Parts: sequence; C-alpha cells; structure tokens
Amino acid sequence: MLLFIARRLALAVATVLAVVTIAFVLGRATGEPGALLLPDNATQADVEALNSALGFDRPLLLQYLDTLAGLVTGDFGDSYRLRESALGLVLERVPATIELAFWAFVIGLALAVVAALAIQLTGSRVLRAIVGWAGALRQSVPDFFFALLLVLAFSVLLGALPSLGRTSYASLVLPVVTLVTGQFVMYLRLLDAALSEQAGQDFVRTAIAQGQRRSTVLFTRMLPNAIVPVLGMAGLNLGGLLGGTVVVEVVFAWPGLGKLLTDAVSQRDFPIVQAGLVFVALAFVIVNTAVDVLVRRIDTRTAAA
Amino acid sequence: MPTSTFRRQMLSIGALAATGTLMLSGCAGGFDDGGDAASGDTPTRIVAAIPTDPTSMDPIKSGALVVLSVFFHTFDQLVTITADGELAPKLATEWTANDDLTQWDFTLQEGVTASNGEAITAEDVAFSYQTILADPTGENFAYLSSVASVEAVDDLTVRFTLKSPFSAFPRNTSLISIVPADTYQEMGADAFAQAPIGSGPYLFDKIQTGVSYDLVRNDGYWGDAPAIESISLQPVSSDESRVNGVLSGSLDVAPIGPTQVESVEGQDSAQVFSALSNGVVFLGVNSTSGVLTDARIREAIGLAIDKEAITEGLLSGLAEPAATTLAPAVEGYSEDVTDPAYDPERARELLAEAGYAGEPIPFDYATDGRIPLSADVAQTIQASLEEVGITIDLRGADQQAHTLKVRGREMEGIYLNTWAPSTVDGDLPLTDLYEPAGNNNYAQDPRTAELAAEQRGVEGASRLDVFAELLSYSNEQGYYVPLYVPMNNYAADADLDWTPRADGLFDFTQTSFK
Repeated sequence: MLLFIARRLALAVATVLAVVTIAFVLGRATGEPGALLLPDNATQADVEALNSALGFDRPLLLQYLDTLAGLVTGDFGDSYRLRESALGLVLERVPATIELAFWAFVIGLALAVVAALAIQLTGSRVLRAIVGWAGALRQSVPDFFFALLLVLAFSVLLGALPSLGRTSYASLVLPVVTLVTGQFVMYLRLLDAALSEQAGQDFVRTAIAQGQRRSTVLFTRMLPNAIVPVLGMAGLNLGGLLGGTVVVEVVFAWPGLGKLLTDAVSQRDFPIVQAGLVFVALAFVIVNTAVDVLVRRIDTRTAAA
Repeated sequence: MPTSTFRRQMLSIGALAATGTLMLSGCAGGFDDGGDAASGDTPTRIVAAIPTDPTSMDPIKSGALVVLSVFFHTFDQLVTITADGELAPKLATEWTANDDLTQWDFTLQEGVTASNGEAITAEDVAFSYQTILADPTGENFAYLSSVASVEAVDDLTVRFTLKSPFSAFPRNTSLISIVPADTYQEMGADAFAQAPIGSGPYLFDKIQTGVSYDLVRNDGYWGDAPAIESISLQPVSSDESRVNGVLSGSLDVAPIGPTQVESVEGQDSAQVFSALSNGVVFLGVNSTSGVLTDARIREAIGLAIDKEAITEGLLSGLAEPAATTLAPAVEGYSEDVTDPAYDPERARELLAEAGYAGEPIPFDYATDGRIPLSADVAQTIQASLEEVGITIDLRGADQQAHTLKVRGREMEGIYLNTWAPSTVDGDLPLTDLYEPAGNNNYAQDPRTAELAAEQRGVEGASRLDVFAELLSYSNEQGYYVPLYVPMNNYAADADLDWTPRADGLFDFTQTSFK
C-alpha cells in the first residue's frame, strides 16, 4: 500500500508539472495580456509598459522558472485583471464547483444503480428499453439546450425555481438535474451490461440453485462485482466535473471554476489559469487515486495483484 | 467480500463526501437571501445583470468600463455625464479654464464626507489623480494623458495643469473616482479593494468577486437620496440567461441582444428599453496594404455596403446607419457630415477604373463579444462586397484574439471594429483613430492628426467645425467605413421606472419602481 501511494504521489507531481508546462507554453504562444487590460484609447507605449511591468519582457526561461517557483510555494501571483491572489480566486470558486459536481455525481450514480437493479429484479425488457431510451434521448440533447428548456419550464413559466445564481438550495435543482440526466445513461449502460453478463455466470447460477433469493444474489454477489468498472468510469467523470462544468455554469450563472478558467484563458490571465489548472490536475489525481483504492478494497483480486 | 463490509464502506464514503460538500458550502458563506425582493409593497431593491465581471474594486487601479456601473454608485467623480450625454456637476459645482484651455480649476461641493466620516476635500481629489498619474501601467492612466500636474489650491479648489490645450477635459474627469486619501493610504490599495470606502450615494455591502456586488443606500450622502435602497450587480455572461433571469424575476434589469427584444416585448411581466448607444460599428481599413492603397478601391467598399440591409434586416431596426465614426449622442457629431449612399453600380465602375483584378482582401472580425451578431454582420458585408466583384477572405477569431490583433496593428485588409467613447465626447476616439499613436490609424495621415489636435484647442461651435472637417476628410479618404450606430437593449421588470444611459452603463440613482 505504501509503495502504491508513493507511486501515486510521484505520478501526481509529474501530472501537475506537465499541466503547468503545457499551459505555460500555450499561454505564452497566444500573446501578452496588456492590450486586453487597458481601455481602447491606451497607446501601444502604455500597453508595452504594462506588459513589461507584468514581467513579459523577461527571458522566457526566467518566466517559466518563476512559474515553477510559484507552484512550489503555492504563490501563483495576482490575477492581472482582478488584481487579487489568483489562488484565492480559484479557491473561492471551488465550493460551488464541488457542490455541483458532488450532487450530480452522487444522484446520477444512485439513479443508475436503482434503475439497473430494478431492471435485473423485474427482468423486464420493456423497463430496460424505456429507461435506456429516455436516457439516450436526454443525452442526445446538448446540455445548454436542455438547461434552457428547464429554465423556460420551471423558472419562466412556472416560476418555481430560480433561473440563475447560487442563492439557495433551490438554485441547485436545475443545474444538478441538467448534469444528472446527462450522465445517467452512461452509468446505466455500464452497470446493466456488467450485471447482465454476471447473470449468466456459474457462481450466480449456483447461488440461485442453492435456493438463495434472486434479490440476495443480486445485492451480495453481483452488485459488488458490477460496480467495479462503473467506479473507474465514474472517477474519471467526477474529475471532469470538478474541473468545472462550463456550459452549465454559463447558463445558470453558477459561480464555479469552469467559467473562471475559460474567462481567464481568453483574457490571458495566466496566474488564474495556472492556479486553476493545478487545482484541477490535483483533483483529478486525487479522485482517481481514491477510486483505485476503493476498487482494490472491493475487488480482492486487484488488491492481491 | 461480505455484503455488510461493502455496504458499510459505501455508506461511510458517501457520508464523508456529503459532509465535506456541506462544509464547503458553509465555508463559502452558504447562500444569500438574494433574488428579487418583490413582494407586497413597491420593491426597493434592484438586481441588475452586467455582461462581464468587473475588475478590481479599487477605483485608482480599475478603469474598465463595466466597473463604472459600480463606481458611479459608490464614489463621487468631479463631474457626471447624464443619461442623454450632457455634462453635469457632481462633486464639483463648477469649473473654469484659463484662456488657452491649459489650466482648469474645479470648485468642490462643501461638506462632503466619505462613509467613514473622512472629509472629502481638494487634497483627496489631488491625491486620487496624482496616484493614477504616478502609475503609467494603470487602467485609468490613458484618460489622463493630457494632465501635467494636479494640485489643491485650497480646501475646495483643485487645479489641473495640462500639457496642451484641451477643451473637453472636464468630461474625462467623469471617469475618475475620488477616494478618501487618508483612508486609502492607511488601508493600502489591496485592503481598500476588499472593503472600498467612498462618498457616493451607495455603500459597498458585500463583494463576491465575479459573482455579485451588493450595494446599500448611503443615508449620510450629501446629495439627493436615491429611491432604491439596495442594488445587486451580478455578472451574467449568457444573453439567454439574462433574458430568462428577467422573465423569471431573478433579475430586474439586464442588457439583451437585438434578436431577443421581440421575445421580451410579448411578455406582461417585462418591458424592453432600447436607446441608441454612443458607439459606432465601423470597418477599419489598412490603407497601406495591397490593393487598399488605392483610394478608389476603399471608396468602392463603402459604396458597395448596403447599411440599411444590416440595420433594418439583420438588426430588426435596432440600429441606425452611421455616416461618421461618431454617434449622434456624442459631442462632436455633426449632421452635416455625410457619406455616399449605397451605390453598387458606382462601386463596380471604381473597381474597374482602379484595375482591380480580384485580389483577395482579408476581412477580420470577432465571432463573439463586443458587437452583437458580429458574425452575421461580417457575412452580410462579405456578400455585399462579393456582389460587386470584390474577393473577400473572411477570418473570424474570438474577441480577445481580435482585440490583440487590432492593438498590435496587425490587420492586413479590412476589419470589423467598434468605438464607444465613455466620455460621450468625440475626443476619446480621435487618438486611436486619427493620431500617430492610434491602434486603428494605418493611414498615419498628418492632416487627420493635425485636426485631432486642433479641436482640443477650441470650444463650442468652432470645435464642432473642426470635427466636421476631420470626419468629412476621413470619409473622403476612405480611412474608415462607418456602418451603424447600435441600440443598447434591455429587458426589465415591467414596473421599473428607469432611463438607460447612452453609454450602456448603469446608474440607478434616479431610478424607482412604479
């Protein structure tokens, strides 16, 4: 286990380093931010003065080493636009992002498990077709469009839920529903396939032949096995959600990380980009490590390996 | 593996994660009692959407346009520009210039104090300007490029000494907020930005960077008390979300795009405000590049574009064709300046005369951002130009990449751009369009630079004459092709009693609900 964690740590460091380096190279290739920060009547001399005050006139290698030093000390500098600590701005957005990602993840997965179990327990082909179809239909609609439909129905017509912002638990409903319904069918397909495959296997047939109830076999034998591949996928997915859900954040004016990062990229606000990417990369590595640990504990075969 | 262990593990992981999430929500201050306070009595709270997030709340450093929607409420400026573009007193009661317009004295309102009790005197005004002038990399520096020095003559008189005559100087002071000098210095710039203190009609209540900027009425304000008790300015980047926000009651007023006006007009719960803006959308022309060096080809481009097809067709009448690079609301605009009408026949003749043989002309535009429907506008122009036989190489980019290209003077042909002077005075765009340092000034014509400088030294009718001469000359030379003056459109609560400003910024000091 220690060796496993050490390997993961090394991997995390390498990942963050790679992310920061790529972001640095791409960022510097897209131009300097001075001209985007000053009003239209500022002259080129003003812009150049600002760019050099921000350190863009120094050799690239020096700028890169500075970025790395910032990474080590956790000081990414101040946002060029907002003139506040970039890391502070990123961390301010993290709770809203985690909140959305967590509920979307948990509810999406739970719904998929419930639906998959119901399909197995009833053995109903009709149920499988209906749930699968509905999920696929939803997934075929782009998130922003589905979100707008939800807003039109529940905010504009019914006036039941807020259309934007993060002001109460009611604000969570529409964004979470958008994300949950978009992901549900992916989890469902994985689970259903895994459960169906096991239904035909010897240990299941033996258990049923021994007289165990179908539901008992399903819960105690099949589900722990079927959940393993789903968890791997869900981990990747949660990592993605933690990186921000730009489309949903934009439609619902949700103050998450995704919007902050995309704005920072287009504004060439590199300190925010760096701080944000490091957070996202770490979140990804941590979630995936957690999932791996979980899988090893559930699936004793991987633990032995 | 036994079930119980599996179930227990799943449960504990779930519980842990849920607790963590709730704790994080708690850390962030949980939820506000935001939204619309509309219930029963006449509402006294306005929730307004702003299209982009404001920069720092330190008015010395911050000068981006959108942030003025906050600062107009929370700070005093020497003068103010009214909704219809007129100059009016604010912190200064009057102002006078010496004969050659190089020295301006502003007399301040007596008895003004910041919300923490610090008196606002000429010293504070001088401090605010001097601090801006000391940092050439600041966002406000460009507005004060004419200023040589600022001093407090006595408690209530501030004297500006300029580098050269400048008749419209007071208008530039409408953009500069006055901070209480002692407080600002004691707190330091960074701390001040977190908890800014001003002398405006509203106080900062709560700042959530990029999320909401909440203001409450300053009951100790020296001027007339506004009717609205609290204001929340919230960045909402999506047009659709702003419309839906107003229709669902989450927002009271929000800027919307021209295509959305019709859908709001049909609603009982909302109304539309549309007013001509202070900006002009135009084609920039690199008159030193390729075939565009030929004035006849530049003229042909202007003649080939059917502006009414854009304003009436594409923008559903929510814009007016423009004949100059200044909008009618802007000081310096003249009705006498005309540009040739749509005449594709004449355009074809000119092209033939110039011997144009289909050389492709690059046409850059931003696919999003400052000009609503910019991609459709660009395609309409492309179609018009190809109709008369001009080959267009259309190149779209995102707004920031486009801006960087404009600011780097990297355009190789024609390009879509817009200029909206926040002072609502024609002086501001002149530097950029007609003077040597201008980012859009490819022609570098000494005649335009001379006229741009000349208008600063004269006042009133003679100043307008200089503007008319400059803008007519620009049209003749085809340095720019003025296209249209767009309207600012807003969706608002049906009961809101409000006059939108030409510059598209918010000032709710005169606003109320019916």
